[in-house]
Amino acid sequence: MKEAFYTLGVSGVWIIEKDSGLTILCYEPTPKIKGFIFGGMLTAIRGLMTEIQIGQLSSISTDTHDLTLTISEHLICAIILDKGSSTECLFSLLKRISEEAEKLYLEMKNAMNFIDENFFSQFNSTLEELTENHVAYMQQKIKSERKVERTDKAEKKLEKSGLW
Amino acid sequence: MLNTIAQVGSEPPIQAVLMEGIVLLVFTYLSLKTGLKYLQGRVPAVRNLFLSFSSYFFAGLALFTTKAIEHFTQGGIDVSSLGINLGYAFSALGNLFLFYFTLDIFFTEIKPYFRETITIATGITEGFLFIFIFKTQTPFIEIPGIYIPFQLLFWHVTVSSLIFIILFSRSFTEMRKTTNPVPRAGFLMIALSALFELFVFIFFIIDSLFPAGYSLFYFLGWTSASLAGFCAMIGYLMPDWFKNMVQKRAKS
Repeated sequence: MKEAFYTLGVSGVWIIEKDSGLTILCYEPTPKIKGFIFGGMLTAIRGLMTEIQIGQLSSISTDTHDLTLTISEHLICAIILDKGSSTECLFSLLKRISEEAEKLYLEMKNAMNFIDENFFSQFNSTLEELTENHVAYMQQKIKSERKVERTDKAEKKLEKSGLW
Repeated sequence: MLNTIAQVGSEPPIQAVLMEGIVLLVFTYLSLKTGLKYLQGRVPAVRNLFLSFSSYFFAGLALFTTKAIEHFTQGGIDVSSLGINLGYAFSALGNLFLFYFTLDIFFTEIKPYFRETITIATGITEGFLFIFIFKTQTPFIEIPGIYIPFQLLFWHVTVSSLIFIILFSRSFTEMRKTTNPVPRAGFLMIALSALFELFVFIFFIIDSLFPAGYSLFYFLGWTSASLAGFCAMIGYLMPDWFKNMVQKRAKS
């Protein structure tokens, strides 16, 4: 999973309970911050945004990274990307992670009615599967795009050369 | 001992002279036309194509003139072996330029040493061919009926086949990907020209196995060369009549 994260330029994924701000899952290839600190900080910023009525927080940018959020019914899914990575191509992955996390969250709530981080740790395998599938999909997409580009180029090169 | 075309002691038949004359005409036209196209745009790919066709033209010229001299002197001046060996040398050069053209047009990324490997392989053919020609067939020391060793011919055919297979596969792949009928037909013609050029070498190598020479395969080889030239004329130069024909067919 570490490798897939590096390929995609992802520095970390956090799943936070929306109401409490509790981090229920945190994955960083190189851990830098405690999960609960991150969840708390994000909830605080979200709260501030609501307080001063400037809308919902959807992203935060620094000069080297972008933080993107997807908010579902009960959870906030946050992903930190390197500046060069394409947010557009990772948005579908983030959405899938959010949907799957929401499903597991509801399952957990129905089963035990409280938040168990250990129960949620099984989501790591789902996260791994989703990221690796996404990497494979992106690689396939790039490959096919290159193929199309090559076809165009051969045709265009012959036209530009004055032969056709 | 296997020689390429072992017609020692007999002059070439008129059919052979005629076939080579036809091929010479086709490649004269192609050289002139691509030369003019190059002068118009000065595009490196067109220059490589022009150099390729010019080399084929010189190969045809060497073959045709020497065959014609030998035929009309009824074997008195036996220079056809020199013509054949020069023909191989020029065709190897033509194939190399065709390979450069393929790289220019059909490749976006070239693997390291790919260009260099084929260049060196052709260089080996040229080197050995010219050592052979200068040792046995200079205008001062003409040893009639001496043809290049089979091993050298085999090497030349292998390198040439590789070049034609690359061009064929690339062009055929492009044809399959393109939906527009005109480029599709163009790529098909380029692929066919590569295929016919491959057949030229295959038929000649088969002919070399017949000790009497001028077998059916010799004439099939030259027919393939003419067809390769014809397909090249359509595929590379794309005349208007061909474009109109394809478009009309696509509409109907």
